[in-house]
Amino acid sequence: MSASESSPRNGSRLRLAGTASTSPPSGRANGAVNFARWWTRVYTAGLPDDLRAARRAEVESDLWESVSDGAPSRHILARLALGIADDLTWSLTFMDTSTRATAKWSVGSLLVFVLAWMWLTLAPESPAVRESQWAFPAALVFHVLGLVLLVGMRLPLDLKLTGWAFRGVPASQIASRTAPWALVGAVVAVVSGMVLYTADTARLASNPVFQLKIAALAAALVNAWFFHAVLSRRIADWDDAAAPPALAQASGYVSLLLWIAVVAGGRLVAFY
Amino acid sequence: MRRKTGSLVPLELAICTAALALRERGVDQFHGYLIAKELKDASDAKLLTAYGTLYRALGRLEQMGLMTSAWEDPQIPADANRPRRRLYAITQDGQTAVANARETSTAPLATPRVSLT
Repeated sequence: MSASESSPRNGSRLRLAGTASTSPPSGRANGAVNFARWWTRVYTAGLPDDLRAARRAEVESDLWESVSDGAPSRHILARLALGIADDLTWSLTFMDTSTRATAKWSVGSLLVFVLAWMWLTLAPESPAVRESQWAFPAALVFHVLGLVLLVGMRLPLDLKLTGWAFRGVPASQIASRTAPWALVGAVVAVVSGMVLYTADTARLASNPVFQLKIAALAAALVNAWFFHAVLSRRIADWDDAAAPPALAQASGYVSLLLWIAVVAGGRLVAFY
Repeated sequence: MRRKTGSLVPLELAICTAALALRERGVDQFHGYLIAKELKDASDAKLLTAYGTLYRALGRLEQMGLMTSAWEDPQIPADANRPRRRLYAITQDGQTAVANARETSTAPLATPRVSLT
């Protein structure tokens, strides 16, 4: 007996309300059920058809049983929230390689944006970092090292995309070899940058050069997401071509400009 | 989670144990919500096992050959006016795995209501 023997889609239309044995769910329960359905659609979106239909039908059945059993909406939402990590891990296991890469880049980028936004708006001012003889200089050194690693590892890919260098090397090879190191550099630069930011949050937040640097950084991240999550899906089509397609070239030029802006902004913050 | 080949994580063991308890009560096949309720009752938890955690564990158990599953006949849910259920059943290997886990475990199982004899 296995799930693939018969498709769940052959079953009756899935409904929660209107059964003879149970009263219709309340508005709150309906909201929770709809949210659970939405989330299930999201994390199963990149899966093979059979697997996607099976999981959606299974969750639909569980939701129906929950509502029929009188489960309050908060229980439905809690079951949903507590299983999100498992949903994502399970989903990533069954995605094809390019969809998995897209999902990882999308979720990762979104997380970075949310965390960075929270830190920039909520970080407490820390005189200890500012006045410490070693904390600020150490964070500064790590910030520069992280940025050097990040930009240094991104540069070969940008030069390849613009067609200025590495003509004989496939872009996918450059991307796969440099991306892990760029990620290490990004983590070091971001963590040390968060420490540096706490030294003088009020002044930095109102500094126009710092604002420009953060905006350039956000745009560079979006551009990196665009390359790894969107352009890379069809990279096999142009991997060995002499010149990458126009969109990939544009991504390379934009990346170069944005990283120059980030580095320059970082250096000039102290002068404004 | 890293694990030894063939060993069960606590949730998987609890699911197999609960499946055996249901079988003892004459329920050979169960759907996700039913086993979630059984797990909750056995552990006195306040919440049912999360959707993602439960169905991922059931999938692993099926992949290991400790459970089988099949979608019920479409006519049954159509008559009952409800969504179709995926019905799981514990296999002989599943029963053996629970017995082995029980033998090798020094601690008592987390589901005291279940008898394995």
